[in-house]
Amino acid sequence: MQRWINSVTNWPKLVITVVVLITLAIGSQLASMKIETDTEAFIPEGHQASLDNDRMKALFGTPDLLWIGIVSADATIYQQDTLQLIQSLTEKIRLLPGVVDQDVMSLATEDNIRGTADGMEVEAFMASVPDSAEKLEALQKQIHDFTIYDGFIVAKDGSAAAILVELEPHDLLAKRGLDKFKVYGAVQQVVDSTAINRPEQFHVAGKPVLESTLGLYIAEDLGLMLPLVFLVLSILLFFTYRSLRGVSIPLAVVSFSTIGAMGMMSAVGVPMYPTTTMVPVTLMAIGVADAIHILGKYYELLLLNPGIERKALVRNTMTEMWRPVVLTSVTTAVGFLSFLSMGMVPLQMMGVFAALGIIYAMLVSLTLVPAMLVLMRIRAPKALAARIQRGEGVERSGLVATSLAHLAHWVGAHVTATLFLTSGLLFLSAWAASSVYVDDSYVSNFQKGSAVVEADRVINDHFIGSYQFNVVLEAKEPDALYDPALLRAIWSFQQKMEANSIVGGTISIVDYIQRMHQVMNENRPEMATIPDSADLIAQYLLLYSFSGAPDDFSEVVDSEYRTANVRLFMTNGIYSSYHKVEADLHSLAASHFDPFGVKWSITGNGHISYVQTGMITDNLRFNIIATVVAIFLAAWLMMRSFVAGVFVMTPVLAAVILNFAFMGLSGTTIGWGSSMFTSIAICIGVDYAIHLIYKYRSEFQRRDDARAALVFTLATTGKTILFNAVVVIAGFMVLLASAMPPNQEMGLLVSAAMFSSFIATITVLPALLMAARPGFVFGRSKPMDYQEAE
Amino acid sequence: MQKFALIIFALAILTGMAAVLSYGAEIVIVEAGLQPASLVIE
Repeated sequence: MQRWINSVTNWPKLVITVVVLITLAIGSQLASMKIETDTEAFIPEGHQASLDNDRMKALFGTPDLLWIGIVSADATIYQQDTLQLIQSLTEKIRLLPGVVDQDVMSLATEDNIRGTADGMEVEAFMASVPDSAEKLEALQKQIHDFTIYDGFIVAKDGSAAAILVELEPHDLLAKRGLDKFKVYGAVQQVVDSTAINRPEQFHVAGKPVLESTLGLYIAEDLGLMLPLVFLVLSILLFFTYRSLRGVSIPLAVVSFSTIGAMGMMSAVGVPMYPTTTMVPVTLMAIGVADAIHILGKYYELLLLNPGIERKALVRNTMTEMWRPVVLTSVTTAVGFLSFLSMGMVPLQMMGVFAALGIIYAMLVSLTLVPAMLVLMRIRAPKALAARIQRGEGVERSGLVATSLAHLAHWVGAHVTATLFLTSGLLFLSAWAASSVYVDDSYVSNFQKGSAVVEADRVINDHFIGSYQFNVVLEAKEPDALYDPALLRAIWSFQQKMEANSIVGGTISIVDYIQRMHQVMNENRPEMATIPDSADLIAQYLLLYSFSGAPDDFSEVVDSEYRTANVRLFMTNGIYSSYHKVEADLHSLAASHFDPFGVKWSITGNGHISYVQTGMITDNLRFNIIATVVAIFLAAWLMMRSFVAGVFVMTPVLAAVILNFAFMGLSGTTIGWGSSMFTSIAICIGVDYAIHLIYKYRSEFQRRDDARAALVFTLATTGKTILFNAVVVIAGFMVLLASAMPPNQEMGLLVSAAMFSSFIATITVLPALLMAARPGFVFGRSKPMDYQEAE
Repeated sequence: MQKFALIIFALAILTGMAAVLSYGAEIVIVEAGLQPASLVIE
């Protein structure tokens, strides 16, 4: 390593050129970055939920619908003017590229089934817009009688109507140079232009809207957050060092590492997920630490050796700092790699590219930083220079160092009390932490009161629900779905599922068959039942086919009548409210369909999001353990001491426990955002302990006095750690400006964890070290090879 | 006394981590207004 340091300091310009060129080459890939917001991306390829969903889409094409809600200003949409508006808006939407024309559903497109003397007639509800009170009333009655549409395309109370839009599949859109963002944008534009000077309220909701809006938020967030973190870091660095190098060197490291990591991500074709938006901010907040610690040592050595020569100062600094820099970077990177255990690609990618970025930051810190320092003339910050002139010791260099030295005196004198106090706090925190649980919803990605949340609420208040579960039934033989017994089982299943308060409605082939039976029996309401004969059912369907379109039932049954799709609509997308729905779906499907030998599978966007959030529940526990074990092993191996590994972990574990207590007390639940904070907090917080232990051991070896060593350690490295913590906290606090609540939550949680980590590192960790007097600090065996490096 | 404090501290960390790892997927009755604070649906 010494040879490396010598080479870097001998050829600084060459080093800078190489680092800049490599970073620019990687950074040039950034332009091809894509954004991915589909919930299905969270499910690993080959997962049963994903396979079932693909199969359902292939069989029935049942898409994630885009809902346009038109809420009447006069409590009813059954007015000529409003119906005309629905008709013209439907026509405009059908013409948009990327919209499946024949699958747009509204009052203007759907057909009624009517019994006639000759059989059955299928005719449009609204071949022309009704122009009299009688006709309007008749239309209202027709919709009310046809239970499928009541609550689906018109609100049950008649106060609102919906236009349901199906978007073409992703690959088809791509072929036409489109994507769901563009199609949604076009739909929204048509709706907005129609809404001008209209008394009705217009809302657009559904999964495509949520995904597109999240994509916009991600792009906006990146545009806002990166400059903001940059600005916050610049201000902090300037007020600390008040020198060009104090600002430019750390900023160069973070910029290079962020460009490096994001460039690599883009180069290998990994899109920007909601989770990976945190990578740049995380890298900026963490990457700055290496440079801060190197600069801290640089100024400390300058203070101790005022007349030192430039190259010697840089070499001595790097000789002392390369080990802690490598150790902290490797442990942090290893910790981030433990995200691989999360099983969900967006979370895994967040871990992988944060880890790569941290290693990149480490390499830049070990090359660019010494190279830049060698090229700059030695100049201590004014305040520091004044102290050097006054001959003041490091312990007395400023208010912060003095306060930390006082704290060190107190902790040194109250080791037992510090440990007892912390233990008490941890026991209380354990009690509060035990009430934390997992909950999430796609809508929670958006600010309360935002248009997208409001539209989601309005649509789900008025209609049967914009979130879907689908139960796909596969019988062994064709025509199995003519069997009245099986149809009754499906109907009973639907009825029992509708007893769940969040199930707004269900639709299956049974609804259509019952309607046919009713209209063929003088439209008597009591005849809206399933006929007893399979032949009669087959006849009804044949009669229907004479006047109906052939694909009218394509979303609920296949052409062989072997496979059926039972669609269940939910009025919200909240994970915790799906527990009962999922449990009921499984038990009722088993009890209703297993006796017929019918295979069933549960799918749909509701199920996908349930599985996705459930994976957090299943994997987070393992992820926390994996992070702790990975960092512990890295620390153990690199510090060559098992006990050192244990001590390094202690402050961050205490911080994590305190944070969970905070979550428990504030009612914050674990979602995809907050699920990441624990590992991130452990990865970053562990660095503080490593720096402190290294310095403390070095000081103890020098003085052979535990308390004096602590005072000096806190006054020097403690101060650097404090600054490091302030920078990380400020960096993550920038996430509070994010448009996405999970990012805000994450920013707050990481900041809180960093604060507790810092406090634990400067109080509990020294108390532990002084109480246990472990050999890796107090022994003479020098297991960490730190002294020989000096 | 310091040894005793160390043992208590170790117990506190272990209890705390056990509590952290014991999070679950609790059923919340949304309709009853017991909505999780981090969710925004009304």
